[in-house]
Amino acid sequence: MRREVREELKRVFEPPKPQGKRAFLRALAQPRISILRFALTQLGYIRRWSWAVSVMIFAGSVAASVWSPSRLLGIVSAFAPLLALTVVTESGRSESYEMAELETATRFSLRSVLLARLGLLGLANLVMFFLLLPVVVWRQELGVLRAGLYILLPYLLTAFAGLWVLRRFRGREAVYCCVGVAACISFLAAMLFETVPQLYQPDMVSWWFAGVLALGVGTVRQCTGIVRDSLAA
Amino acid sequence: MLGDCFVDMEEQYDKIYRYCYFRLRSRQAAEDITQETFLRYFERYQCATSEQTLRCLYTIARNLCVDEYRRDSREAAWAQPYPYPEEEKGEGDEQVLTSLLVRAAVASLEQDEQELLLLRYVNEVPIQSIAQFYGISRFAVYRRLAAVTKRFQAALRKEGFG
Amino acid sequence: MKLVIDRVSKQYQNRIAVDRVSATLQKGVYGLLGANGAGKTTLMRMLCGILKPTGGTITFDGIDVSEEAYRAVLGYLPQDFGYYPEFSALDFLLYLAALKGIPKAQAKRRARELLALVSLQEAEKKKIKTFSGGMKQRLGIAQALLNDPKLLILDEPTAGLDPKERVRFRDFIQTLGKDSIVLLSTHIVSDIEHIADEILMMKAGQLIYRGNWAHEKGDLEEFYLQQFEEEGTHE
Repeated sequence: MRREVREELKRVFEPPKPQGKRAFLRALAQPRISILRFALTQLGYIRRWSWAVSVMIFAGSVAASVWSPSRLLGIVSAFAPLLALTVVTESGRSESYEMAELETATRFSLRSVLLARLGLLGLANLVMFFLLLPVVVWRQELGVLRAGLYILLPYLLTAFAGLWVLRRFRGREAVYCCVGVAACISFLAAMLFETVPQLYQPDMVSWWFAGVLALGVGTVRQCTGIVRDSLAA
Repeated sequence: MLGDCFVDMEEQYDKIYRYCYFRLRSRQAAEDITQETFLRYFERYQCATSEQTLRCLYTIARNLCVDEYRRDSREAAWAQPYPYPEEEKGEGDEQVLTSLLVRAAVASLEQDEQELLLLRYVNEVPIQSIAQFYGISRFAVYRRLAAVTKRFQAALRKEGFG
Repeated sequence: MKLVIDRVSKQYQNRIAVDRVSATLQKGVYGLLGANGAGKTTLMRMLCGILKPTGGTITFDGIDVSEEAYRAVLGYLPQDFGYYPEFSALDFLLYLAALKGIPKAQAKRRARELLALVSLQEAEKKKIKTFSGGMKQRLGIAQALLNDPKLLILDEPTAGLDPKERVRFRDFIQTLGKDSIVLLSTHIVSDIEHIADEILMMKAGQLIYRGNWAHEKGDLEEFYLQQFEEEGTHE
């Protein structure tokens, strides 16, 4: 059917202008998109850089497992803080780019944004952890528990410290500070592996376990804290 | 996907209203029923895809229109002509002529044929939704649409449209 | 449509920023006047659920400020706001539309309508970092209107607008005031003298004056300055 005819058809069936439309649409409590769909949109806004870092860490670890398997644990422990850093910096974006106020005054609010970011990246990191763990176990010939602890400790330390910094000091500087913290922990992890091998002996495991437990609890508390902070002060 | 299906309410309000007006030829009644349609939809239904949502909305609207007929014996209402819109500025004679010819061609069709043209070409309802709305297969919709289009174009030619 | 502010206070450790402010607002444009530090921004932040009052309540048609349903009818333009780098005007609006719960197709349509409304349609794909102050402000106004809010809170909305933009803005606000509650704050008297239906004046956290300002009553500016002269003599 020709275009002009179609256009004309539209006009033929054109009713007189409705009068109650705006009032009705406003009065109707319009449903919002679901939380799941919201989380999906937030997924799209997580920076490519954060995903790129995860991919590079994974690739780097796999490469290390092939070319210097004896050092693998040190390398993965040094990478773990960087992974934690992605979660921390993403969470800090609203404050550092001064979007926090605008986001707070919306239906979903800043709280949902933070939960989505922490949740999505946390989940992604968990997947990474379960992918790297067997590689480390196999190459370094460690038990699953020990391998897990050696990777988790630097990760949780960075997450805990980073979130703590974000909550105390708002803004762009806080994020830079977190980067610094992560770099230090990363360096420390690598150094310790090379220079203090006694730490990685089986008799020290209980210390690692205590550390992971304490930092785990601490990190969770910082997470809930940061979400709680986003509610009206 | 993900159990959400969205009705762009602002857009669909206009379309459902257009459909109701076609059935009832009264602005007030058409608007009331359009609003009632949305209220009922949100109250009772949760459709999984946007096609199903549209089918749902049109079905509710149709049922309400039918009830309105019974209430108000508006059976003959559909035969009433639409009000002619004011002439738009800058509209050439050719435009006005086309307008008259198309109107006349449409008027020569049966109500259900006009309705199909409205749903498909004006409201741009997806074939799937039209099929579900009429309770026929997609293939049947295509066939019917082709037949109606053919009749319409024949009517146009008869009126003198080039 | 009624916003009820009931004895709202905000107290910090060493000072009181807002002191038992009460007001009931209905459809129309309200001007919130006051010097910097008078408590305007603090009050507005509380009205938007960003700060929690230390005393009193805020409700809109019975819905408390802390509830989602309140935020669903709210539009807010803060005094200062940022943007994620690399965002274009359209990206910005779509991002906030998602946060306001608006589905994508509807959001896109609405964003484009609003960009046209604030005369930014040409800049749709341009990055916000290339925007002038006035353009950014207009974008801010656009985002506040995404959800067709019944309650619109604008904090210093005319800052950064040139005189021509200011005039357009005034007309625009008057239209909005016909079926929403619009509260706009400023320290520039001429901005709201002509568009506000009612004026609320704040000083040191308190609401010191509320009323219509008819021309017969004298110059608003003079009265306003008088208030601050008084403050001067007490020091």
